[in-house]
Amino acid sequence: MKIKKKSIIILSSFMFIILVAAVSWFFIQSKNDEQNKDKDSSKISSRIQVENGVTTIDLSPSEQANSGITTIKLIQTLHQAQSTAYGTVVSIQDLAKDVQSFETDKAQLAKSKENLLISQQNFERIKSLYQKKLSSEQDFQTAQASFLSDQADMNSASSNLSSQKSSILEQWGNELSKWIFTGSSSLQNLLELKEELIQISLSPEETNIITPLNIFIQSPSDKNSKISCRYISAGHLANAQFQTKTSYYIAHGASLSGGMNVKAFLPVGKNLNGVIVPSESIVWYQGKAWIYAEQFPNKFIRVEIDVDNPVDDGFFIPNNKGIVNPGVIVVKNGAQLLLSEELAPAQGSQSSGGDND
Amino acid sequence: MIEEHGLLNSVVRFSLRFRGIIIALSILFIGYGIYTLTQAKFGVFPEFAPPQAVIQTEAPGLSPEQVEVLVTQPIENAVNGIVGISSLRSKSIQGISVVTATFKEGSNIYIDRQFVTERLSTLAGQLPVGVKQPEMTPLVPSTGLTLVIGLTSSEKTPMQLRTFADWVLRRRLLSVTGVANVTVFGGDVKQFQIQVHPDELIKYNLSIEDVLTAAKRATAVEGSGFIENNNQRIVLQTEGQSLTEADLAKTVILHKNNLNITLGDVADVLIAPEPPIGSATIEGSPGVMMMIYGQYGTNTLEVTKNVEAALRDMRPAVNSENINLITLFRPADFIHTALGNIEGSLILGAVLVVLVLLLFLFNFRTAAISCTAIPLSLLAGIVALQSFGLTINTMTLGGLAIAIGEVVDDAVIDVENILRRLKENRSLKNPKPNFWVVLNASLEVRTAVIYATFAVVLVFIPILTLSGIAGKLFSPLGIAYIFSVLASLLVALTVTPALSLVLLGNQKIVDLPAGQAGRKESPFVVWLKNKYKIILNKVEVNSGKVITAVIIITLAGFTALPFFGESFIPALKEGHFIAHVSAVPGTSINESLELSKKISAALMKLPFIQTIGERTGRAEKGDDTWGTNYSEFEIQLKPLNSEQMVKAQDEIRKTLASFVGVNVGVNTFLTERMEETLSGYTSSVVLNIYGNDLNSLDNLAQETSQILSKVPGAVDVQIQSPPGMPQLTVHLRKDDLQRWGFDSKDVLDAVQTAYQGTDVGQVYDGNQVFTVSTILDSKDRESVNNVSNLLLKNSDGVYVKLSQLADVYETSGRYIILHNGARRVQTITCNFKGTDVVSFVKDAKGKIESSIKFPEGTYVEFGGTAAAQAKSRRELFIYSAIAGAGIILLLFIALKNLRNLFLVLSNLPFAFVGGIISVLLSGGQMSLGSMVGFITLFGITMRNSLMLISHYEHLVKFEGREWNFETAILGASERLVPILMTALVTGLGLLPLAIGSGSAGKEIEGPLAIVILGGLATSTLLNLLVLPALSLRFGRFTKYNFEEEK
Repeated sequence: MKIKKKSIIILSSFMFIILVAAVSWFFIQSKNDEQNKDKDSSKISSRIQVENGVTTIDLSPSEQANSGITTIKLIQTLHQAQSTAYGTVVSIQDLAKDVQSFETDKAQLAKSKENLLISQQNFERIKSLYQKKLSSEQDFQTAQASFLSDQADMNSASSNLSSQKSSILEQWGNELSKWIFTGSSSLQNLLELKEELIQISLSPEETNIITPLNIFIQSPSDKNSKISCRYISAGHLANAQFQTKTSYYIAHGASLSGGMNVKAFLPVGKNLNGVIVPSESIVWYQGKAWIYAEQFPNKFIRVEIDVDNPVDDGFFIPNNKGIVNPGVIVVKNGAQLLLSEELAPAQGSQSSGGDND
Repeated sequence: MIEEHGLLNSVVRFSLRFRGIIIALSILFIGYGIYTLTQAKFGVFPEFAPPQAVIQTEAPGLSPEQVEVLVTQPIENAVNGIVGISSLRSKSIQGISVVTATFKEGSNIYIDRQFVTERLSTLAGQLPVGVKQPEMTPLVPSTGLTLVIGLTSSEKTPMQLRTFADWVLRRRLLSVTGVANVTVFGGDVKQFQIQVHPDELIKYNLSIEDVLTAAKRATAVEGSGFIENNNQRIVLQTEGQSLTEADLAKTVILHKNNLNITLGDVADVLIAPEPPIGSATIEGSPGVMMMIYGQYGTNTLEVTKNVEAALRDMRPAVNSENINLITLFRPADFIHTALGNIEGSLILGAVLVVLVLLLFLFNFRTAAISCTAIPLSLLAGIVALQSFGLTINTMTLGGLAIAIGEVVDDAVIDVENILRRLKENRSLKNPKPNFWVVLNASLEVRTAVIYATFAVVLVFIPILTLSGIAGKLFSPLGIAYIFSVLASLLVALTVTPALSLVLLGNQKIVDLPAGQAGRKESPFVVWLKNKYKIILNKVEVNSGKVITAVIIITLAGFTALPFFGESFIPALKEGHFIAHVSAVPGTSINESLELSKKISAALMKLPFIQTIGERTGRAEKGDDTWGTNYSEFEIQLKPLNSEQMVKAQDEIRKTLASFVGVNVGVNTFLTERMEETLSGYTSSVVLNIYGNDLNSLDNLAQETSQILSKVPGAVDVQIQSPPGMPQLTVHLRKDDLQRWGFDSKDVLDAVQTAYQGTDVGQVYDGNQVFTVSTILDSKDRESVNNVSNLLLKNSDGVYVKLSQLADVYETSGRYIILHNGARRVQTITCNFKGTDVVSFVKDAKGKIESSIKFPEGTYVEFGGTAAAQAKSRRELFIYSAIAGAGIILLLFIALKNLRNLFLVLSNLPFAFVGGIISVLLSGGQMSLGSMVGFITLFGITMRNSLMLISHYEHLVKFEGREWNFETAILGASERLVPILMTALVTGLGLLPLAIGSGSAGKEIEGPLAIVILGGLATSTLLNLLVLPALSLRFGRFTKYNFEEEK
């Protein structure tokens, strides 16, 4: 009987202990559940979806407005790539000096030729008389010496002129030299300062491009205005200041001072159709430039863009190079926030949407 | 029977003989105590930060990788060998290195800093050229932030606002006693800038170096000496340096062909904002935020008072400038609220104690004598705290609140016994002199009380020896408690007998029934005793069943233990939140500023928010090293109750989470400081991944953070040094440098001047000094493409593009490189919600270990409050075991009987169960406060049991009674009132703390009080009802045997 009573006591004790444990567990669990419920109320599905390795950020219009995210539609633009270079306004004194030297040498040669002709004729005449024994040997030798001397003078003048031509050719290039040699009216315009000659120094990386026929230079008096220049010829000498290949251009009526350095803008390649992505839209990540494009309404994906064609306020993307084409909507303001959202660890309660709050 | 000689006898005898002097001394001491109280330093918590030295080194222009290798590592190597360093952390960010050396607790911070200074002096010449001298930041306490103020103005420009803040307000505030540092965020820092146009330089065939040289010459300030003749020394002063932007613009760079080319021809010379490293918004509008820090060892309340007085003085100047000055955060508010709450609890507890005394003692005089112990003992505790250099804070006040019960109990035991003996004496035919009766009665109970008191002191040893933040928080509580209890012992030996003799010795014996001479017993006590005897009889009859039931309940209580959650620091109700918002590294200051404005606007719509101030990035000479992607919001709440504050925190989190691309964290200031002290981060859970390869660490951190964010309850998951910062690398090509006649430094200097700016001099305006900097014009600095087109000029006058000398390419870099213990580390932090720290960490560990394979040489460590709690718990158990052994030895000396010793200890499990039940009912969270509560509870319970057992011993040993049922009943009923009174005064003393335990100031002691209350209830029940039965069955009490005693 006593054993039975003891067994009952032990059993009931055991049951009681189990009961207390169960009640404790239930009590604490229910407390935690309450807190979790509270937490769940603020937990909203993540904005990030990854499908087939593509990460999409889903942002409702109100979320976009809340965070100041704005978009723009890219429009078709005709664009020609442009590179910058520096140039020097050629001092007209140097040109005038060369022209003068050339003309002097040319005149000297003409004069030598005339002298040679006279002395040659004189020599021929004395020679004939001498052969007929009508003239003395002394006269013959004098006429011969005069003829040979004038011949040497003519050769020298010719050589001087040739040397001057080479020098001019080297200094001013084919076309300008031609102007000098032929006394072109264009040369007169330069000498009369109706037009300015500009020596453009191409960047080392741009020496292989086809030299454009028309370029612009920045106006020295107004940074925002540009002066049109036309191509004359390639220079054969490097600019001492820039040490690169040069080309000569002429600007009309720009009142530039000789010796002045100017910034030039050179069109490169053909005109292309494409879009300009504003610089605000671009985020740099992992060494590349990216934009966020709206793939479907309110769903954004990160797209790498080509930065080979920088423009003043962004980058030009030619058509049919990826998905960035006219009509595509891209994030203009707030691209960094989208990058931040994409890279942040997916966080339970943290990733909530404004709509659902 | 009572020893006639000995220390105790002498002390009590002296006190009785010179009772007037003792009473006068007591009054004097109360006066001194009150004076000490008025001079005391007040704070919310004890100083919990270990001794630290923070070394900042400016390394202009260096990348994080360069800072790490060239600056941080040499500093770490120099500092690492200093004796007593417990941890060494560092951050290497662009342009700055921050090394934090933490020293072992207890070491002298001033000597530690002296060592650091000596080591730093050895670094001279070892750091790269251009890197500034390493400097230690001002010494501020862990909660040193004294005030945060915001400045806005509709009339002033951001630059004017900032200039006012820097040159007027900051200077005044730095002169305030106790202010260590004032950091300023936002506005525009005024600078004279020479913004160079590269095209103009080329136009005039100049280089940026020519500009630098000219600008340096223009701003040079030189001393000129003096002229001395026989009579006088006349000082020469040169003036005419450029002091305005117009003057600067006229500086000639080149004179050629009678023409001048000036700075103005090639650059815009203007007053412009310094490139910002931080910004601020106040109430959503751009403004200036000033953070004022108190010095180490100063009192926050006092410094706040001084700062506010200075601000009041400055108010006319502020108003005349049409500037709005608002307070964004005032930590003193929480100190006031918290101290007010806990002081209220203390006073309410004391009042309840007095009521209980009156109810039980039913005699004004006895109640008054007992009550005198309260101010005397508590003031003694405060004097002791002051002499230890500790502040009056919520923890020390908590210690005093816990001590109230025991303090009163010491006196009550004495008074109660003196009364009883006086009563008996007066019923004698030949009463003895009152002097002897009081002396004997006092000594009769004193021995047990002394042992009990020392046992309680031993109980607190584990708390005093706790290390880390737990020790810093709870040891002042222990000190306050121990000194109050020891003081109460002294009071019970001196003041209580003296007052008893004066007030009770001559009490008239009139109108009392025979046998009840001396005083009336409280009708309540009479009723209680009668009922108690009946119950005791019944318990004795069913003692077997009762003991079995007690064992079962105790076991059942223990089974609930595994289900408890654990938390280290409870949520503090400071009425203020700090919200952290961070975007991906590399986010510009403008983007952060725009986002902050929107966030501020959204938060301002929440009805419970009073003010909002926001700061982005870092401040000059500030402690934080955040980038421009990181913002902190100071959110001041309107007055809310605890529950509303919890909801407010959720609402704020929710609002912040509605913004795209931000990582958020919301916490209170003090919680953050504690967490920051523990781990260096403002989060509960800190996960450090160590390794050598930065790329590998980055990848592991990314993977780990993804997994961590999926652990149930995880919130605010953040990688502390995430990679992905956009970077443009300029890699010099040696061959090309040689070809064009450049050396590396020429190129690096040019790049630095162009994009960071080079300070070339200073311009002074009155007493304000502004730097003059040369930099590229802003348009040329905006575009990535322009960098490779930067033109440099060699000694032959040839212009060369940067791309001709270097590879310029976009890449991905790091904002920050972290070290811990001079090892590279990637840190992930997070908070948790709806779970407890231990389960969360366990869960996270499991998931990470099963999902990620860490490469060789790479390993992960969990830290933060989780690690601290585990350490505290381990220490608590070890020291508790040691203290337990000491207590057992002490009790054995007191009882000299193992059986009786175990009877005393038998109460502990039942007290434990009571504590568990109370924790269960209050939410099932076991905090460090709860654990300390259990330890305190054991002390109080043990003392009560010891008093009963020792009384039994006294009855048998000294009064010659037989040990039987009647003696057990008699002893129990005689101890009923003291035991009940002790329990009630302790309980009621703590009740105000326990009620509303979540409110400001009671967050830590609240759980402690709840545990004590629960445990006290069950242990008192056992003490009164079961212990007599247990004693009867298992106790051994023998009569006094002189021979045996010898």
